[in-house]
Amino acid sequence: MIRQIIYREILENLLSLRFTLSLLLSISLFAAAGFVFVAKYKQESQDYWKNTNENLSGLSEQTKRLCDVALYEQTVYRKPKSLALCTEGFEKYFPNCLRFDIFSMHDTEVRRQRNFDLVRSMYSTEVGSRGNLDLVCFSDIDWVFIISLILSFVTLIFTYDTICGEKEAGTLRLMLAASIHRHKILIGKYIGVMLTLGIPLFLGLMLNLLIVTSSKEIMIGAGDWLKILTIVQLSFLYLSIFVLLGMFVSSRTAHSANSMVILLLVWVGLVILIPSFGRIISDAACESPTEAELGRRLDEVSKQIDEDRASGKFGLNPDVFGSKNVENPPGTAQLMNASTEAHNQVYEDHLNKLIAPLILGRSFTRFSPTVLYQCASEAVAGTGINRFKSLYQQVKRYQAELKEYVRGKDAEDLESLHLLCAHSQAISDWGVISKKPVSFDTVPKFQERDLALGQSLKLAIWDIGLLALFNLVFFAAAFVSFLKYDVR
Amino acid sequence: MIWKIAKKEFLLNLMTFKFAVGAVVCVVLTAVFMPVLVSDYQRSLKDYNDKVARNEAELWKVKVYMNITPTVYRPPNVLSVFSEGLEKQLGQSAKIELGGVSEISAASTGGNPFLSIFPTLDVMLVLKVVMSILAVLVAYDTISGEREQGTLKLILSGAVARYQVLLGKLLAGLATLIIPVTSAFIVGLLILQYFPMVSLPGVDSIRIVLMYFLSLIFISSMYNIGLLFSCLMRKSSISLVLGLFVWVVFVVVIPNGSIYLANYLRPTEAREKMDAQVKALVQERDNEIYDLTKTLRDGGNYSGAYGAFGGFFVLYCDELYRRDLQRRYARSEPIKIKYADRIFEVQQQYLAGLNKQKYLASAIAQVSPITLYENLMSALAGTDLGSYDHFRNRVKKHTNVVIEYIRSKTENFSSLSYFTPTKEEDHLEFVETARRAYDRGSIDSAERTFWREKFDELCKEKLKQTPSLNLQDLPRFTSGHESFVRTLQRTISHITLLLFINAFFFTLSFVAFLKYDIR
Amino acid sequence: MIELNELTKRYEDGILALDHVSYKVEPGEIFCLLGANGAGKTTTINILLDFIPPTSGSAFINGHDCNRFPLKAKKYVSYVSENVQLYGMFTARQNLAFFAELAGKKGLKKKDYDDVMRTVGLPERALKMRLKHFSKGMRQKLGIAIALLKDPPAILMDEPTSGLDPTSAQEFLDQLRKLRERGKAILITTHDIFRAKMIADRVGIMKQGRLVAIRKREDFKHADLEAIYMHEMEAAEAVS
Repeated sequence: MIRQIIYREILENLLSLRFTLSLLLSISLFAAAGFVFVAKYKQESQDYWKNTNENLSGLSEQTKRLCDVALYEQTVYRKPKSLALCTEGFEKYFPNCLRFDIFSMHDTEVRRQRNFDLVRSMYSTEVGSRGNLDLVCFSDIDWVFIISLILSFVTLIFTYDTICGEKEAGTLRLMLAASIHRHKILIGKYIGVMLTLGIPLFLGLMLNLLIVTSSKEIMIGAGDWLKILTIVQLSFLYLSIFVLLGMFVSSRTAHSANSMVILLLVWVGLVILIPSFGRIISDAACESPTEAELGRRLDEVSKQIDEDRASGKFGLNPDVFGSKNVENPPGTAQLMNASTEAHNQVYEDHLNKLIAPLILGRSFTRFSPTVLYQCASEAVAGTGINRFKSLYQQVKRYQAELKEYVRGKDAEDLESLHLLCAHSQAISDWGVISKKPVSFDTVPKFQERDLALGQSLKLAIWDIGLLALFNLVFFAAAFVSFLKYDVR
Repeated sequence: MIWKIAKKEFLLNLMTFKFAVGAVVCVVLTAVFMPVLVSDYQRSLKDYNDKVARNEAELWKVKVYMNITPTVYRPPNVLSVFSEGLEKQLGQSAKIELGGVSEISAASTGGNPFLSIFPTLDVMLVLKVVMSILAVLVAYDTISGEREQGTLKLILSGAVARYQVLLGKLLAGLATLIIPVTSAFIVGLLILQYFPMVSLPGVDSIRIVLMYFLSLIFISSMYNIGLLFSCLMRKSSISLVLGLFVWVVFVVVIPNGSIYLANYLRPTEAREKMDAQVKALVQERDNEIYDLTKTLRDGGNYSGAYGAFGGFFVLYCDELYRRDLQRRYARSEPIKIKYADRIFEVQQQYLAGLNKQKYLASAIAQVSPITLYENLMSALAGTDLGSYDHFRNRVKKHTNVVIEYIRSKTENFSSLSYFTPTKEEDHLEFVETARRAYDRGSIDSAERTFWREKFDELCKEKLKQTPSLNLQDLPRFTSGHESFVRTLQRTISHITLLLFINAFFFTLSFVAFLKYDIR
Repeated sequence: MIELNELTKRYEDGILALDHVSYKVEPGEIFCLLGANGAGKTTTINILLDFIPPTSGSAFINGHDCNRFPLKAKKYVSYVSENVQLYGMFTARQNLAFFAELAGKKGLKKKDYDDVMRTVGLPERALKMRLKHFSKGMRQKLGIAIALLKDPPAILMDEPTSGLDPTSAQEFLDQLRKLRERGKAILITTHDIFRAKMIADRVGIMKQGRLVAIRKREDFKHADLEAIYMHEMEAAEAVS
């Protein structure tokens, strides 16, 4: 019985205008997305390798002296990911490089330098974000965009008249005149619509993957394929919500025109309006820290260090260079490290405070399945804000690793004072860090690691759960509504 | 005849479920968004006022002309509640300095770049999404629905020409859609007025009026598109599907896709290129300055302090160094000014390039009335790139005014008052003390320490006594928004295009309806 | 008066819907057009109302060419369509008012509406009811009321009795008689032979676009109209 209903549903849909249009739309969008992604990836890849190699060659030059390695400001760039195909994760708005040396993480935003020098004024701003200034907030056309916005809309067009349209045509009565349970009809329709929608989705995805894999640049590993499969399943889970929603509303009204109006309203609310609230919520709930605040806190910290120094916390004459009897290398090193630590803390707090409103805003907008789907896909694909945070943590770990390496190599040098600090004059005058050369091969180099699928899923577990919950709720609602539906 | 048909159509429209829902949603959403948006604006306004006041206070602390490096701010635009545009993404301030150049992106002037991932929320979102879909819903069955009902035959069996029917329906459709748009505007403006600190001076009112009419023209274009489908298809369900597909392509696909495509077809020069150019210019400038000043001393006995705007100034310095500093500034400052102009040009070029690329994206997207409408509203609200450009030009002009002011007061940067508040004769007072404090000659360290302390005390005394400059005659930055006329000049072609789209689709509907099979 | 003169209509797909059809409907006459589905009856009405143009020949209403001066011609004709929904959200009165306005009737008062409702046999309180609550029979009657308000010399009706219950159909026939008395020229398309026999002054039988027979009332008053009809159809077969 159910099979008959499924066949009929699919056949009827295949012959309709809406199917043709959705097929065209899906294929052209996925194809366009594929081409643009390939071009973008090539460009980003080139930039990434150029910049990373520059960084590495700079590092290799510094290996003539260990202390230079310690002071060298490395820049780690964000590697373009092939899974950004599925969801870019808004990474274009995030800083795409992190600068650091083994002592401190330089801020990823602008640093303002004061006019110390009487004679020269410098062009003093640096931006940590290389790349273009995008003038308009626009979404990248990735899978998540096409599916969450366009295909969800198309789904509603398929299901808005699934019950009430049949009532209007009189065929619902005919169907129920046969001895069939109502719930079987519902299940049959659901499967039929899902299969119908599966066709444009599937063809679009295939075309997209074909375009992407046929370009030699983009490598998709085995682990990546698993993640892609997961995202495809997530997409079905997401679209299923809209199928069930359409069936629910369709079984509440007698006129398909009214059903369409309600569904459009709900779609606009869930897919367009609720995500836009994120900004307002985050602005209202927590203040983004301003640069002025950052400057103030840095000043506070500097003042605190000065006070500590005046009160003798670092011994006599720290940071004074002159005759041997006044100099205090350990004190100087302590002073420098305390200052660096404190400044680092301020910068990291600042960064966390910048990210906090984003996380908060997103959490509040999780009422929308679109946001849930976006977050879950980002977690699985390893892009987006989670990736940025993970990258930051990985860089910090690398920083520690490199510091240990320097400490180890420094211990081998008997001439050095073994006082690791970021004071260039202390290093050059007193030799607090070894000046011996090291081999480039032994220096640890940074490698970004991707999360395994299992761990990514753990990140997304709440979102996936909520998506499943939406499905259950709408299914139950459609079920109950249809059971009581007046078919006359 | 047209009027009679229009009246009937209008009444019928008002009685439909879709109109009730659409109109209510439109007004309710506006009523809900407005307070949120306005309080956001209020926050920015307060922030702006605080910053301007703080800046003014700093100005009164300035002791030397070299330290006149105020920051000017761009006031938040009240109309940004209607159309946010680029308001939150572009710089809202600029530092006025002799050799410096203002930054472009908000990220470098204090905005939070992470929040850009959220789509913009403004009243225009309601209009362009909810109202446009309502327009399509009202229009899609206006002809085909009547045909299905059988009443189209009845009407045309009377002495009624087809064009009369179509015009009547157009009038009625527009009249129906005017109601929610007008209500939304009225509710929005009422809520806006209710908030303190919000004032709408004369010019803003004209802009709001034009925004209103543009919204009407836009909604009418969406209606005409729906009408076209109604006149092409015999079944309402088909014209609905077509209308909705076209809607989603216009509202979602084209605005995003066009920029995406434009990025791909004509990528802008990377920021790095401009940064590199600027860096090169800075290097050139420094070299030129070095060439001119290498014969002068670059050090000597001096004592200084930090003053207003974090700028440094000299409290005392010895005569030889002093003379050379005067010569140095007289030579270097004009060069800095010259190079600052060149750097500005480079930045303007970059922005122009971005604008061109945006233009290409717009050109592709002009297919969609939504994009046209967005751009127009943004321009009228003063939140588009053109308005920002206007701000940059004003900043440049003001910078020139300030430079002229300083030049006039310091005889082309050569006067002492440029870098030190201490008069010629007072410097002599320090000479003896300093010589003893810093002379590495025969005096032993104890005495030197004594003289050093005395010197420090003298400096502190001097610092307290030095008055700030009287900068009452320094022209202040007046933040003006682009004049309405200029905005109009910039946007007139887009407005015409929007009107043309209306006429185009209506003409197509006309032709289609004349051939429409009403049986 | 309704006149058809060698009216021919061939559709784009080659189907010949009307084949040189000629006849006149005089004032005070009820002319029933009989025929199977697809015989050309509705096409005739569509041409008279200028919904489609004829391939050749002409149609006239009160002397005005329907396709060259349609607006003039339509001033003199009223149309009762088959199974029309009318405007569901409007009341009966609003529907009447609208179509009356279109017909150029100004200043209609409550009395006029009451009269017309009474004439077609609808209760006056039905004026305030919305059309969506009307039954099929009531809607049919309202359709006639709309035609009556215009009060034209010619009336075209397309399958007016289809789906009506016997009482309503009988009432409908009474209406037609009254209209005939007032001197209207009435053209009715139907395949309700039973009712056609009861009311028609003349009957035209159409088959595949051709008018194969015209019979006057005298011919079929006491005969079985159905038998005549079937006979004519077979004869037409033999000829073609």
